[in-house]
Amino acid sequence: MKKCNRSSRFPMIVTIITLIFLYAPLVVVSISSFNNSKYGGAWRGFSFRWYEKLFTDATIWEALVNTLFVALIATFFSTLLGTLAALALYRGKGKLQLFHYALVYSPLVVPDILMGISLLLLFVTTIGIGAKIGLSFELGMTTIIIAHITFCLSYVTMVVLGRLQDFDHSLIEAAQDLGANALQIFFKVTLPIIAPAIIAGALFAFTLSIDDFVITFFVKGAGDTTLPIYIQSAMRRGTPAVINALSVVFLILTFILVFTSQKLLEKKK
Amino acid sequence: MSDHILQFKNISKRFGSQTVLDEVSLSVGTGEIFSLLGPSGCGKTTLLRICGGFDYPDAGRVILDGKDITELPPNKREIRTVFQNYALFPHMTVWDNVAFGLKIAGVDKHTMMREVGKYIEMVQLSGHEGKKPGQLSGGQRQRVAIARALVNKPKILLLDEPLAALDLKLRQRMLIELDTIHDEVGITFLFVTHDQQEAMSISDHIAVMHNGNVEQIGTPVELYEAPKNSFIAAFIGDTNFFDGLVEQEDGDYCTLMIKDFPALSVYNDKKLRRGDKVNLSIRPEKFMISATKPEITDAHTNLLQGKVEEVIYLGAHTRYWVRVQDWRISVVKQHFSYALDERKICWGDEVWLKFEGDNAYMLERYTEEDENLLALPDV
Repeated sequence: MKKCNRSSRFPMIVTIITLIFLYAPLVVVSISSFNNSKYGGAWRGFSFRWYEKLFTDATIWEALVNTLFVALIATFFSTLLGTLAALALYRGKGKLQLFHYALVYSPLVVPDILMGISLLLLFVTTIGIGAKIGLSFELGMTTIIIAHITFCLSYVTMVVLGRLQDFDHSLIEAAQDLGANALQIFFKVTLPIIAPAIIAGALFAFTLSIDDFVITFFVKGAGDTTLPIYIQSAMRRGTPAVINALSVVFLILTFILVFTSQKLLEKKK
Repeated sequence: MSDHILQFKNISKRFGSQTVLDEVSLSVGTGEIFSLLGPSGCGKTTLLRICGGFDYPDAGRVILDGKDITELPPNKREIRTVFQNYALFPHMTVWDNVAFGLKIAGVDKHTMMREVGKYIEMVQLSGHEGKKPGQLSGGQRQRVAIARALVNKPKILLLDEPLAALDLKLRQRMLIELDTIHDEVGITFLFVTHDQQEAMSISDHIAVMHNGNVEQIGTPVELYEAPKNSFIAAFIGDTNFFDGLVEQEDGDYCTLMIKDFPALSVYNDKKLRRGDKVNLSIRPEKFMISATKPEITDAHTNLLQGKVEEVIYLGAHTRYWVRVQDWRISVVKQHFSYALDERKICWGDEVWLKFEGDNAYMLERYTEEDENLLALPDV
């Protein structure tokens, strides 16, 4: 009895430590973004200087536009292809499908750096062949987009497939029973039911695309800059203070996004 | 034949090495409630799925209203199904679920409003039109499934264990409602169940299936009172089985020798001859139990003497287990009246069991394994 009554502080302590662990870096970044010092470190007084710089620096905005452009296109195609792949995997149960599954699944476990190198090799080879037969293309936004579609695809497929595996097959039989043909079943029954998973997959792809550095670094052309690439080079050039400000802006946007999506989900319930 | 809306002709189906249906033939009358009854794994659901078009038979034909529909896909058949788990579309409201079939059929808006409204009212769901299936109780979902299936006015409604997911009280109520709905719409119902009480109470005809075969087709009364073999006798209701030999033919009756019993006179509808082996079935309620020796006036009335081993009072009736030598006999007594001061038959009492020779039924012997599977457990 005594044991039961004793309220343990252990879970609370662990929770607090975890939260500190997660949020301490963010707090430091937020504070630093207001520090009137070029290299961080010692506190040199409060300032909006870096925010001013952030909103006037054209290269940052160009990088942001590039990032969003890549992310939107990559999200669209990876969602489309990923959903179709998931449907194919759900329907077929043959040996070929197992192989297909393995093929789709492996990019999830292959390290990014390997993906980056192999994609680069593929692009370089293709460009080489293209040059020989008189077609010229080079590394640039197109190769970035193709690379992003490639690695986002697997994530979308897995998310949609997860939802499909919970899908009650008798719903399809019921729709058929009520006279619907294959196309009607897909658009009136299957698609609406898996829509949340498709949206989740798309959001996943979008997030992955926006913050990808490693793969983009390999497959980008000379002048292409996405936001992660810009941040990395800014750190090297020694202007991290602007990045702090940028991080805070991103942080706020992310919180707003998470908050609204949770509100939306609550409403649905 | 126009009085048979649906016919299965020599349907066979195998899954791998297992024969699920073995040349099954049966005819369903227009407008009736026809039940496929049997223990799980007997092939009844497969037969229903073949009728709905979700499975195709390896051999045999399905004839609907004179037309061969064996090869047609489900969406081209004038048949609707109420699925065991209801299979309601979770993203649609009750109204949209019911309207689904009409929308697909391209019915004009006015007709659709009228028909959907009518069927929602019929299944007593008015006021719930805007709800999603997730917000409904089990019984309400069941009603949506029924309305959705009926709204297209199919030639046959298939019901796959529709009450299995409901609790006992609700099941009994839904059974009565199903019967009412059937009377109202006049559509033929093909009802699959493993519950013999459900089948008995709702059906015009029942086909009892076992191991991929139809064992017997008949009205509920025929199956209960004149089962074809010991499997049916054991599966439909409870019964007592006795092994014996025909001692002597005696006109319409015959005399049976059963170990430890006096000679019994039993109606000989099977025209058995002297020396034939028989398996006698006597339903528990066919015995008259009494503490005093009853008077025998008829030559075909039989009397056994035994000792009560167990008494189970069940309100409307009491079940006794009576020991007669090596036999343990289940007896049911209805309480037409029940005087509290009456001397009750108790555990350990010497009693007399009386039964008429017309009420005992001689059967083909089925395998003992099947009987044990279905027989009432000893208390």
